[in-house]
Amino acid sequence: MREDEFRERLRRAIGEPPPLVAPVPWQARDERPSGPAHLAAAIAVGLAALLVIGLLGTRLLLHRPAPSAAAQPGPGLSCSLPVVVMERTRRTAGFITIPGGTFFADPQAAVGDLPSSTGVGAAGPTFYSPQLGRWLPTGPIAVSPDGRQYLYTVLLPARSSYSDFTSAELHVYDVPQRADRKLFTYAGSIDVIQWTAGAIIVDTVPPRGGLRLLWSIAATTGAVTQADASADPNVLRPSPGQAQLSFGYGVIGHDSAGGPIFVIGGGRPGAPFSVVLYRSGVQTVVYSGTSGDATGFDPIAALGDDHGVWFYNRDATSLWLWQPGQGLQRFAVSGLPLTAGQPVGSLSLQPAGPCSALSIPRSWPAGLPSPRPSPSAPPTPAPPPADWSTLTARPLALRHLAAGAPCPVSGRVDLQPRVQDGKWPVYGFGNGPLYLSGQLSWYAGGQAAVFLVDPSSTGPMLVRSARLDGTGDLVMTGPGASGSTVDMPVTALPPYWGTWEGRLAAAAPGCYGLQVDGAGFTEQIVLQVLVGPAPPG
Amino acid sequence: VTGVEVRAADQQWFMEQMALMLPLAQRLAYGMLQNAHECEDALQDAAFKAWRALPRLREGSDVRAWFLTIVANECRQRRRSRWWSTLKMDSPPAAVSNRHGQGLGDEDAIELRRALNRIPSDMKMALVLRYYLDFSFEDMGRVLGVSAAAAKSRTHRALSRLRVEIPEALADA
Repeated sequence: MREDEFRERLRRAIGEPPPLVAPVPWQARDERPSGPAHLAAAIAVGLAALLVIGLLGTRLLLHRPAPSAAAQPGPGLSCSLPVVVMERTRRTAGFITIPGGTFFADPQAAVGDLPSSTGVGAAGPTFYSPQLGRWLPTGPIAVSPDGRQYLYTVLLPARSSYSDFTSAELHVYDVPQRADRKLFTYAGSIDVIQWTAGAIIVDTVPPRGGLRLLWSIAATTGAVTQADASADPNVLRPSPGQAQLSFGYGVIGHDSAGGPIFVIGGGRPGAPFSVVLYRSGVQTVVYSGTSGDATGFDPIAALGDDHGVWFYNRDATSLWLWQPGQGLQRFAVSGLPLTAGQPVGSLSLQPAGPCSALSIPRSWPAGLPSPRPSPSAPPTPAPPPADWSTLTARPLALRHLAAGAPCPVSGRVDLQPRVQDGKWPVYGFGNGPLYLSGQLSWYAGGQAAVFLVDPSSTGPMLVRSARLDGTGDLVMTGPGASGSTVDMPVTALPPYWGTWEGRLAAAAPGCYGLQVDGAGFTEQIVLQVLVGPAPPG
Repeated sequence: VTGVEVRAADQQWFMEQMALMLPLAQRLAYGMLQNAHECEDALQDAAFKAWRALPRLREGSDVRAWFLTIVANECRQRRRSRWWSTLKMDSPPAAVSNRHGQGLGDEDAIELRRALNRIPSDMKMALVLRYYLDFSFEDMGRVLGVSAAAAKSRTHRALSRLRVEIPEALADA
C-alpha cells in the first residue's frame, strides 16, 4: 500500500470532524450560541474572567453622555506614572512623566530578589510601589492597599505548570520584612481577583476544570471563607429589564476603591462601546463612543489612584486621566522604546501603579520629577555581603585515604525541595544543608550536577573539591565555579530551596570529596567516580 | 491569572491566532480522540491553557506549533485518563476504495480506528500528524518537540506497530 493510499484510508477511518466556528468573543452577539457555535462559546467562556459574554441591556449603551475628552492637562498635576511597555513578550518597565508624557525606562527595575507566581506574569517587574520605592513582580490587583505586601501563587508539585499541577498555594509576601506567609491552599488553581481593605477575593478552579469557587480571605488573620457569586466584582449584573441583547464586555481595571471598570461593546472599528465604572452599586458612564473614532479614546487598561482613573490606549500613543466632574484629559506619550521603523501601534502600555513622585534616591534622567525619599517607607534590607575571606581561610579538611581503603561514599537521602521554578531531583547525597544531586552514579569524563540547599541556610557557601585516593580534583563548571571551587553568594531564599546547576568532571575514576563551608558549618560529601563515560540516558 | 497580566492587545492577538488555528487544532484533536464531544472539551481546555501560558510565549516562537503541542498534550492526557474501552462512533466512516477499486467497508474502517486506539499515544500522534493533517516531518518535529528525523522514525515505528495490530488489513502496507 502506498503512502497516499494509507493516508486516504486513515482519513476515511477517522472521518471528518464536525464544522467549527471560530470564537469571536469580542463581537456583539444577538443570539445565544448554539449548534456548531457551541465550541466557540465554550472557548470564550474558558478564556475566563476577561472575555465573558453576558447579557446587557441596550439602555446602557444608548444612554450616551457627550464625549468629554479634552486635550489639556489639569492644573498642578505633576507626577510619574509607572508603566510597563509591552511588545508581545518584551517588557520595559519605566515611568511616564505627567503632564509631559515622556517615557523613561527604569534601569533599576528588578525583582529578582522577590518571590513570584509560577509561570504567568512571573517574569519581571510589573508594579511599582511608591510606598516601597521599588518594583514588584505582580499586578496591581495583587498588591495590598498599603503597597507593602503582595500576593503570589505557587503551583504544586514543584516545577509543575498549569498543564500538570495538582494544587496551588497563595502566599503573601511582606517586602519590608522579607517575610513570606502561606495564606491558602487549594487543590486547583488560585487566581487573585481583588485585594481591598476589606478582604482578599480569590477564585479557584480544579486542575482539570470544573466548578469555580470564590473565597474571601482576611489578610491579617488568614481566615478563609467561601463567598457567593456576589463577591466577584468583575461581573456585570444587568437588571431583568436590561437583559434584552447581548454584548461582549470585559473588565479593564479598577478605580482606587476597587470598583471595576468595564468596557462594553467595541472591539472593532466602528463598533459602539461604553466605559462604565461601578462603585458600591452605582454605575458611572465614563465615556460612550465608537471604536476608532476621531476622539482617539480607545482604552485597553485602566488603573485608579488619588488623581482619578488612568486609561491606557490600545496603541500606546495616549494616556487619559478621568476625574469625576472634569471628564477625560489626554496626554500624548513619547519616548517609547521603539526600534527603527517600528510602528508605535506595535506597543501597548500596561498600568503599573499610581502616579506619584518617586520615592527612592537614584540617578535619574532629567525631566523626571525629583526623587524624594518616602519618610514612612523603611529601606528594604539588602542581603549581607558575602564574607569570602572567612570561608576561604578555613582549611580543606578532606582526608586522603590509605591505599586500598574503601571510599566512604556519602549516603543518599530523600529530599522534597521546594523550588520556585523548575523540576528538581528529590534526592541528594550528603548531610546538608547542601546536597549533591543530579546523578545517582558518577562517571569520569563529566556529568551534569545539581546542588540543592536547604532554606535554613541562606548565606554564602564555598564548595571545594579534592580527590581522596590520589591526586587531582573535580573540575566544576557553572555559576560561580572556577576550577575546583564554587562560590555561592546567596544559596536559598526561604521558604524556597537554593539550587545550583553545573557540571562535575573528574579526569580519572576514584574517590572524590566536596567540602562545603558556610556560616557556622563545614560539610563534606564523598562520591565514587566510576570508569567513564557515563552511559547514555 | 489576572486581567492585568495578559494585556488586552495580546488577548486580541491571541483570539485572532486562535481563529486561524482552531480548525487545524480541531482536526488534530479529532484525529486523536475520535469523538466530537471529547474533541471539543480538549480544545476548550487547550485554548484555556494556551491563554494562561500566553505571557510565557517567547517572541518569535512558532505559534502554530506551540498551540498544537498544547492540543497534543491535552489529547495524550485524555487518552491516558480514559477508563472506557468502547469505541464511540460519532458518524459511520464513509466507504473507501482501495487501490484495487474494491470498497473498504465499515468493518475495515472500524478495525483501523480500533487499531489506532490500541497503539500508544505518541505513535497515534505521529500517524495523525503525518497522514491525517498532512504534516511534513519538519512540522511534525516542531509539534512533537523532536527532530525531523526522529519524527520520521516515529512514524515508521507507528506504521510497523499498526501492522502488528491489523496484519491482514495492512499486509501490503
